Amino acid sequence: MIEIRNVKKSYRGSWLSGKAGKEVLRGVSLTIPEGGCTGLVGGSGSGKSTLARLLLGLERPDAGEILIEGVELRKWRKEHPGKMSVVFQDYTASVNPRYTVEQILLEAVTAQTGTGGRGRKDENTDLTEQARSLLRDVNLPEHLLGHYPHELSGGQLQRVCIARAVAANPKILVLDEAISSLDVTVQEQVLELLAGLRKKYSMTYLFIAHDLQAVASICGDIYFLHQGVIEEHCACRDLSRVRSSYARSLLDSVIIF
Amino acid sequence: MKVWKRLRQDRFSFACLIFLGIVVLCGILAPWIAPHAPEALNVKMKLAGPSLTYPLGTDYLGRCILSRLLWGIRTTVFLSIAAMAATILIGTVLGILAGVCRGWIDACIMRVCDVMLSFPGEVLTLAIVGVLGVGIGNVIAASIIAKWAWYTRMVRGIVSQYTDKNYIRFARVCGCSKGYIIQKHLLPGIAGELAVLATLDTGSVILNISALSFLGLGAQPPTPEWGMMLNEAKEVLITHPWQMAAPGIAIMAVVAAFQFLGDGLQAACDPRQTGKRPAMFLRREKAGGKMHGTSES
Amino acid sequence: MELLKVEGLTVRDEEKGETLAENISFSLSNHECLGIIGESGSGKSVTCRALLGLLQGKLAVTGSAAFGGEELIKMAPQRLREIRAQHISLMMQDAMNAFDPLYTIGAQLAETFREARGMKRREAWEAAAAVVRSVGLAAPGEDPARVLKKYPHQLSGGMLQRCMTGLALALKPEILIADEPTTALDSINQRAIVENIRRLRRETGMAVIFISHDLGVVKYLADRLLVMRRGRIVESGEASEVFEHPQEEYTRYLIESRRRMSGQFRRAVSEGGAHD
Repeated sequence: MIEIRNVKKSYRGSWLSGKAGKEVLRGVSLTIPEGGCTGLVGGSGSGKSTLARLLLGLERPDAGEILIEGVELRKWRKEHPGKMSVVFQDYTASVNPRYTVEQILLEAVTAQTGTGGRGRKDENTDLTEQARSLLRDVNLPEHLLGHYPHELSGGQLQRVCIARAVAANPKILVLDEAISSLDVTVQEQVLELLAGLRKKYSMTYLFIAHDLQAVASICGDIYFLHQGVIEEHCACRDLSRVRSSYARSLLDSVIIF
Repeated sequence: MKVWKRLRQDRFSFACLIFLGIVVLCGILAPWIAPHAPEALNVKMKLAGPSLTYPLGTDYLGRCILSRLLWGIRTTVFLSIAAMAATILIGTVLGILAGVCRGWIDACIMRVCDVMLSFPGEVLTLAIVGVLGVGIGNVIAASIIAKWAWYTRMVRGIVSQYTDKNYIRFARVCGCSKGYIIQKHLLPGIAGELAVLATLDTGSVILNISALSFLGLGAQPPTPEWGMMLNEAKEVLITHPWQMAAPGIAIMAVVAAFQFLGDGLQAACDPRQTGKRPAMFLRREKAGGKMHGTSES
Repeated sequence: MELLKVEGLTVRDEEKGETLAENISFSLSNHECLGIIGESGSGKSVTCRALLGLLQGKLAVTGSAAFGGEELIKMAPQRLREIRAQHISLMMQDAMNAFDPLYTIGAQLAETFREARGMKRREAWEAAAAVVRSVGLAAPGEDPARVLKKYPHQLSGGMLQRCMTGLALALKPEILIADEPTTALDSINQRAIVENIRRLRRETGMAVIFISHDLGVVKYLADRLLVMRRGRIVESGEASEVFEHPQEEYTRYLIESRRRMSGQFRRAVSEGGAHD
């Protein structure tokens, strides 16, 4: 269970350079049930990526608190190293171009044990086997292990990113526009894959996207974020009954196929 | 490895690399291949032209110019490389410290850098030599002090570029330690760019050290040093102008070789030449991706 | 009347020996909207760029593309530029990169009008203001200068894309080529752009080539449809016909994928509708 309570974040302006500050999150509260998949919908500049960075501990909120299982975020992360993971939108920038798929997949695992990939020989064969099974999890052929990122297609690379994210067995997975850059056909496959992985590893998802249809197809409940404020929260099946003007206009302008 | 391959294909840069290799080798082997001791005087033969005993002739004290040139590699080139290495080491450590830790550490380091960078480099070097006294060691120290801030700032810039990359964010989310991230992601990333900078800059350090020695602030007689050899040749400029040729050409050739090698290395490191198809294609699309047909006109 | 006739268009990458688009033929009549769908790498964008002479590097283009009796392939760059300014507009996915970050939106819009239409400074500024109004970035009573005086980084991607749409439409081209203009936008901005294109088609009878992998938007706009895969045309025909009765396996697969993904959403919306 993740609780985000009245979180605020603004980027400081500077009086000297005359830059205006910007308030990105203006008191956001939301609850993500354990083992659930919660959607966060908002346009560009709504602050959804900032919220993701706060939850991931990459930045600290100015005010408010983030609790996981009732424990403050930083403390929880110390107690549960590697139990939180993320998939970003921009898959090409998400992997180090110098590393092979195998090294990328195992980074989270080896970094935890501190071996840095220089373990004993039998450990290494274990790790390779683990990398193979991760590739199987995301329906990729095993021979890709030795490939470099630039040799893979966008869909393949994003699947590697997903496999890498679940490698260390996280409890919480943040998907920050994870499927937005993919083709619709691939999106559909990846969504299915994500739904399967969530069951297999019993993870909690925060699914951030701007595409309402994609969010609706995987999430149990949806938060609408608009200009740093949560406009509405509803269960996915009650989508048609949203009241707030932002959620309404978002919903009404979807061009359904 | 790819960088090396591409550098091999660039014949000119590779020739520069080989030339510099030979120069370094000559410097190492100087005691064995130099025909005379660099300080051995032969007053009877002073200012002699090239001959079998003195292939490049002798200077105003009758010392073998070739021998002094070969021994001079040790002072001029080796010390320059050492100075560069030290500068880069300091720059990298402080730059990474500033870029990774941020906060007040970053602020302190960068403000000191700002102060250092606000002095003109040459004036700073002269001032330091003036305070510490003349001598080649002090010149080296001065050149490090004058340059480290610039490198620190460069490294910090590159590091902060890299820390915004998603793969480093991912590593942080996973709970990887800072040391791990620096070792596995940051250092390999900045190594290429630093190598290029360092190669380009070594040339200017050589010029710097030679110039100070030429002015009599660096190496002291009778140490063989190229800049000082120029200085000594200057005395007999009117009567024996060719005396300047040997050290002058040596400095020019080595500095130019470092510059060309740096350029070649830069081209070899450039991702646009890696032949990575997706990246190239994207770039091409972007280049064609003007706002509108019309805005191209 | 036939506006554009493309026959046997082939784009080859000589360096790598790959064929990016092979034997593409289609025609576009006045007032028509042609939708092109397919996955990334299917050659949709390459085809359209080849038409406008915007391909760079060592790409060899062969075949023919006739626009009003003139051959676009192998046309002199100068004339091609005129065509792009006067007759065929291109709209791209990446609005962020299409604007120069150093100039205000207004300056860039006005510059385009001055270049393409030979307008005077004041006139061009008025035209730019009209663009901003036409895409709904400034309400009728509002001062459009508020938006015009902003720099690209101060606007969101969706707003920039709307400016691009407005600009492309304000030039009143005979053909608008829209290359994934709505991808990566939230539904409100997406809708605004699509409605703008529709409105202008109604008003000026402009023909549109609409490239997208979002079948919903294509279905909403297109009269005829081209399905592409790996550089070839897989299927083509009347849009409604292709969407209702796809003949090819691949087309069915594309449609099925999209149906499955939007299924939950459709159910949620329609069930809700029953409750109301």
